[in-house]
Amino acid sequence: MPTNKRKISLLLLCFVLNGCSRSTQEPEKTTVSFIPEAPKEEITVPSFQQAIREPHGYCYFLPPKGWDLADQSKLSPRVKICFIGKSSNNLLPSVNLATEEVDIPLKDYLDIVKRDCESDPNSQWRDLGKYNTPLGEGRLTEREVKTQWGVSRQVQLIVIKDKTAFILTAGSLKEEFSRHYKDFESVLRSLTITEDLTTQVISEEKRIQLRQLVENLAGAFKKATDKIAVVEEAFDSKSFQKEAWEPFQQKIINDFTEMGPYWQILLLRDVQHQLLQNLKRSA
Amino acid sequence: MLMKKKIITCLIIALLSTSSSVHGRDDLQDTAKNTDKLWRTGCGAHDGSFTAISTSMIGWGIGLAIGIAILAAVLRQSTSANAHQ
Repeated sequence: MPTNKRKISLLLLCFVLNGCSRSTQEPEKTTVSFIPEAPKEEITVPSFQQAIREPHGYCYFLPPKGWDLADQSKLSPRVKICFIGKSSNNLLPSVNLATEEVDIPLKDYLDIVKRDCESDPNSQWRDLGKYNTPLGEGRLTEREVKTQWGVSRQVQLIVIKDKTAFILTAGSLKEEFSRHYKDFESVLRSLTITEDLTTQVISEEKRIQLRQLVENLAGAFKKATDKIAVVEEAFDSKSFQKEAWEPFQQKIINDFTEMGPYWQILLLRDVQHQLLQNLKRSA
Repeated sequence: MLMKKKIITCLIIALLSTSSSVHGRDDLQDTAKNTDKLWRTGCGAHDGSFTAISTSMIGWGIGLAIGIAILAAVLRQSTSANAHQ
């Protein structure tokens, strides 16, 4: 009889253990998918509005002169900025900068990009070789993609720095590519990264002018916050906007054209961010 | 005695198979995560290429002076919105 009891208790123990191990696993919902066709949803990518500065600095480039800013709302999630040129054809030339968090070396990243392109019957890919940039050694690649307007030829400069892939893409209609090549080459050469945007201004006189402008703006903002306690409201106040921010913005746009529009946007955002954060911290 | 041995053997097999299936599922999860991560890698290059075509097809842009001002304003609005939250 005691043997039977032991047997029953052992059997019960077995069922309990089995049940416990299942119950801990069942409720866990997995978001992982093996299916390649599943939508590539990305939640962790910060939007352009949020990402003021990359962890290792500001990465920017000079677009060709006279090109326009593309509509920000139409950009893919990882694309920071895009400029478009002019053409009589339907497919306009464009340049854009995208970033992606990665933890693999450049060679492996390129293998993945190559494999992706090869799996698409509408695109062709080739490696154009090494390309040195201020971010480190990168790789220049070329894609040709069939579209309803003709074949789009794109050159892509890919560099990986501090676990971030920087992808600068310049492209146009294949027939027009040679016409834009010099512009594209200048764009690729202009890709750079900096910890401090103001140090990138080559002329010392202009650097001093820029620092003075920022100091004056900070002074005006301090005065505005003396009147209005909430920093955001002080920033948005009509008097600060009209008397300080808008003239500052115009000065940056008109007096620092040689730095390019992307640098100007980053600087304006950085200055704005610094103003709001510094005062919040001191409050 | 023979019965007891049989039961114990069965129990050991049952326990081992349960734990190994749990480990198996964990390994499968890890493999799935790694595969998923690897599959997502390269999206930046794809996005760059896609944007080069899509924005070119839309066929219009904003003048730089206006565009810069708009982008600076977007940051102000988003900062204000965050502050109110």
